[in-house]
Amino acid sequence: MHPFASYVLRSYYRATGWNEDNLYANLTRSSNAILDFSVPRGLHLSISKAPNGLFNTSYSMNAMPSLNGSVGYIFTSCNLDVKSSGSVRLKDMVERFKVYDQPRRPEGKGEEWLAGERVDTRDYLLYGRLYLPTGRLDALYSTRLSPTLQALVATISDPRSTLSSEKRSRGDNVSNVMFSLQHDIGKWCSEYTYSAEDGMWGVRVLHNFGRLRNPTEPPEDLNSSPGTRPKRVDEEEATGGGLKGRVSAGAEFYISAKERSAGVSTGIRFTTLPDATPPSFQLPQPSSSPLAQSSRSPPSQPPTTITALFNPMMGHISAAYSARVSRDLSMCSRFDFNVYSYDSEWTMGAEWWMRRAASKYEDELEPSLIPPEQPSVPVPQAESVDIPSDIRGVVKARISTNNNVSLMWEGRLKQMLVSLGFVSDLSSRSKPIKAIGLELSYFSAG
Amino acid sequence: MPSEETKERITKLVEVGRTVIHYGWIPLIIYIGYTRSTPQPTLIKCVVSVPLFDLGNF
Repeated sequence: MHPFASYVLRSYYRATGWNEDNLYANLTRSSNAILDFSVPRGLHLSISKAPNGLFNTSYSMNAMPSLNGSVGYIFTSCNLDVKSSGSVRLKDMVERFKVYDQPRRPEGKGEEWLAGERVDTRDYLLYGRLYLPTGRLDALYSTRLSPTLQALVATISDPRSTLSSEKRSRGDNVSNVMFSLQHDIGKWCSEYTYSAEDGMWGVRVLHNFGRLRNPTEPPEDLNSSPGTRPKRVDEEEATGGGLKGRVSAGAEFYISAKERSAGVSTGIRFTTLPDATPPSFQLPQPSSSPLAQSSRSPPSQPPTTITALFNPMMGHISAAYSARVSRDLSMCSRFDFNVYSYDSEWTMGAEWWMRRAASKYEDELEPSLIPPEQPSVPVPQAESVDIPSDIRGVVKARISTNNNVSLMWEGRLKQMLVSLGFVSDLSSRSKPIKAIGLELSYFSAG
Repeated sequence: MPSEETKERITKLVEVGRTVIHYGWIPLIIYIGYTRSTPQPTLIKCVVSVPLFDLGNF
């Protein structure tokens, strides 16, 4: 379950049109959502409130392992549509398998002029969280310098780290400040980072092969599929097979003069094109509808993402395959191997969306996948957009060859978001349950 | 190379800056949230905003 602050940050990115999925750091996001979900440990309670669209407050408390709490404040320059925990779309709050939309060049907001002067300001987000009783402060400042450029400054300030040199040498609770500059033009996305504590410079680059999506056209023009095009006399039937998609490749390089260390990593990802037709549009249409042609298009392929990462200095290879095998079930398998030590690990996982028993509605719509032009098309089923979701929760499970089994349920109880899970170690007879936890989150808007 | 005195001064400046950010960051967010929100909420609502009244919905 995303923390409230992370939900607000994502809403901010969506409101400002920033595509955080086009970063090299998020290359394996789909498989990580299934395999690397974090199980709550102990008891977590958090309540948050958004008095208005700009300002949000969040309180949280952890009990059981040790009692501690935190208070956080977020301010954004643009009005966000932050929902309450009772009405928020569950899929927005859970890290999940998703085939991401084709990247496009981010567009800034339009210029606003008033009395001959430009009055529109740069978008920004301010976030601060103070932990008690340690007094640690997490701070984040993010701003859009230009439509394609975003700057981030993140700080951890811990007053204890100045007092105890022992902790500093151990490397925990160390204050740090990190600068990051992200440049996204759709086809290319680069990120430059500097971390002050260890003096580390880093560059990450991601390149998307193939044609970019033009923001003015629908995401995937199904009408141009071979079925609708007049056939040549000598044309052969399409043989099908194989997945249609796009390929992205990226690399990361970091160097620290202070620590005398450097690193490099490369990655490649294949992902199928998102099926941009919302399910309600896929229902049988009257032949007069302009979308009727799409029903003749080939059956859509299963959403699939394949990634491979290689770190030549550490000799680490990681390959993952994830796919949505049915409407509610996504599965993933990942193989990690080290060419120097021959260490290997195979991890398998699945996420299963649970629905109310008498499910008569189709899948929830992906807001990012609805092309802006589509709502203007007269479609009889369009009102199904307003129907509340029938999704009750999600179960995630993973098992790996190092005998670790994790199981987690995330869902909504009354007005609260709940996640419950455990991590188990099958090889240990004395302590088979490594961790167990419950997280309750409640937030309201207005 | 900067002299020892300059180095000391820079270190002290960084320390002061860090302390100011540590204790001033959250008041700054509250102040900006208070002044830039429309309609302007009361200051106490900005500092303490607990959805206690909404909890009655359970």
